[in-house]
Amino acid sequence: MTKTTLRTGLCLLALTVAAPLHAQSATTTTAATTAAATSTPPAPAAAASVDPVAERKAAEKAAKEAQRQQAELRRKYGEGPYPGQVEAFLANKPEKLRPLLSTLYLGGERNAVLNLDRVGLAAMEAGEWTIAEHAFDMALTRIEAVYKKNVQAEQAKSLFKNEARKDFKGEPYERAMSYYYRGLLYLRAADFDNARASFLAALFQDSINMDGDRGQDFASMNYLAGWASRCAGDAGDAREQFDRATKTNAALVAPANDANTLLVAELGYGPVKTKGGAKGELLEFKSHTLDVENQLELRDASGTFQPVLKPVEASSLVYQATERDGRKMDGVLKGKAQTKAALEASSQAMMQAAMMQNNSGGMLGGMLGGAMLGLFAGAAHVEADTRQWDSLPSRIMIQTQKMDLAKFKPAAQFRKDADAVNLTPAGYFTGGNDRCKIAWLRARSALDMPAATPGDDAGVAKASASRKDVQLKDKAFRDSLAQL
Amino acid sequence: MTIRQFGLLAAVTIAALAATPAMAGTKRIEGVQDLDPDSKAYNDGVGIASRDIAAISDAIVRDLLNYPEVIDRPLPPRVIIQASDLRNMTMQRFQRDMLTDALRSQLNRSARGKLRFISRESAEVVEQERAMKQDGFVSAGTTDPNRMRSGADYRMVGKITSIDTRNVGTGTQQRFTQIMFELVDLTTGDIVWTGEPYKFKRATDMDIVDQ
Repeated sequence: MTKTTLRTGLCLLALTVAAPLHAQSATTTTAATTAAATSTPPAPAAAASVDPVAERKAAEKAAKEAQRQQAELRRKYGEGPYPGQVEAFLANKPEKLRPLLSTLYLGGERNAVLNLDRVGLAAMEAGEWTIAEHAFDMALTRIEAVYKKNVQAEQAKSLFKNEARKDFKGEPYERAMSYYYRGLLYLRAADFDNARASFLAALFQDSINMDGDRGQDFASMNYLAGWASRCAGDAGDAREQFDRATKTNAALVAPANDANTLLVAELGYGPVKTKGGAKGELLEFKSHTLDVENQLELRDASGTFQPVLKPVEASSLVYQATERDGRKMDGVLKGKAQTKAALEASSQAMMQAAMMQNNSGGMLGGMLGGAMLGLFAGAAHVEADTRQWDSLPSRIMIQTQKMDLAKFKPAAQFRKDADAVNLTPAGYFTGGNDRCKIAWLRARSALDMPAATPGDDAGVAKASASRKDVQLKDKAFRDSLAQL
Repeated sequence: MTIRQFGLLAAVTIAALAATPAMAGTKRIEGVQDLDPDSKAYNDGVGIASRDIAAISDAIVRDLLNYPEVIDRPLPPRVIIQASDLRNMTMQRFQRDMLTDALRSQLNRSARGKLRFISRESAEVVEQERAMKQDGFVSAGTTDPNRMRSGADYRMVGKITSIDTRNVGTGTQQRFTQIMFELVDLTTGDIVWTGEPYKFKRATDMDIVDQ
């Protein structure tokens, strides 16, 4: 390597200030390689005059400079992200997904599941299958993680910390929907065993706070597990799942023997989380203002397939969100709210008693005591965590049919009861194999959602991100996003 | 402030502080750490883990290599082992190739020629190469290009099943998993060998923030 090459390499090295510590050596190598590739090829005479000592010294100098720059970045930005890292992460990603991916990158581990879910669903809509599959796999790995002795989980239960301190895993219906979408992606890829596993796991998550099979009322998951079993050739298991689906929702009937296509349609936007109770300690749900359409008619625009498909409502997410036993966490928050109320009442009582004192010492002491209790009450955080997966649908509609899906050109008409709703499907895909096909359609877009993590508390996010352990976790999380 | 007021203040303060749980420590891995794939890992849940892959294939190989009806035939029988014949009936998403690849690899090495393995998953690339040889596009290689494709004597089939239970009161999640393999005679349909079921039961407690 010539001195010119080395100089060019050093210049490029100086431009790698945005590179993270772990990637520094790789970046240095890349910069040096680039320099070698772009510089003028050395003359034979120059090549003969290479001084190994000078070369080593230059390399050492470059390494020291890189270390200095890294230390400077760390002093200024802590564990990151550093300038340019977000842009580097987004550079090779689809344009449509970049806003959500940016939020994912910056949102860290605390919001990882929520942001991965949102990215995964948007990627499905955009036809970015690899990103969608990896995003849901990463989300499910976290959902399945057991959080015993997790610092953030402990903080969520603390009187003086918000529930939103915890790493988001979602409410049971949200977790079930992560498995549901992964299952649909498996059906698309004709991996029927893993599709069934996903839908069964969705059922498990949906009823996680109930004993036994009680509460397994997510009929669409039973039906989809049945379809996956049928496609895998397990007639007995399929029949059992279809029977369970019908038992929960009589509108769902087992597919006809010759049915080769499953149509899954998603209508409206899903439930919205709100804070209830005197101190916002209760997690409550209400319908979305855009939970409008409740029916779908699907025609073949090519005219080769005559019947009009009218999928039935298999599940309502508003129902799944609300018809649960209370959360265990609600009990913790209720206790925190009671303690806060008691502290406030004691503070007021002590203040009032102090005002009645005849001597100034007693008055001062009472006021001081009341103020201290008031401070404790003010420091207590009892509010429920309302971070939410905002791109979920309100209704899952299902139909099975014998048809030639390859020739089918969908023309959708959405309705609210008898009235037409003017909507164009936001997403549509088909997949499966020759025997078992799937068509998936969405009325509302997952790409149109605001990029910011929905329901996140900026104060909690800032307080959480100030912790060193959280910064390290977030750095590891950003590194792991390379697999997307 | 009177002694009584102080007492009340102290009691309320202690009660409030007691409601704050201690921060439990968690062990963090600095950088990247190599782990033994056959040992219990940090993140293993109640389902199949990496250590099970080696243990299952070990058990199957030991069992099958001690079965004379299959192993001690005059000509080594041809066997198909592929992921699509391993059925996953559990709620755990699972890359079945991990298990069938490990099993085929270990059997292939341990059987020392007493078993031969047929690849159906590579049928397409075999056909492509044969076609090129027959068209004279490439040379014949070192084996007879007109040899027939090998038929199989046996197919290894398997099933992974599980029973999942949970206790809402304690937050305990429990899973019993069973993995079974059988060798099916592809001429008669007879099951010529059934392996000892590989089974385990694992449980874990979920935090209330997870429920």
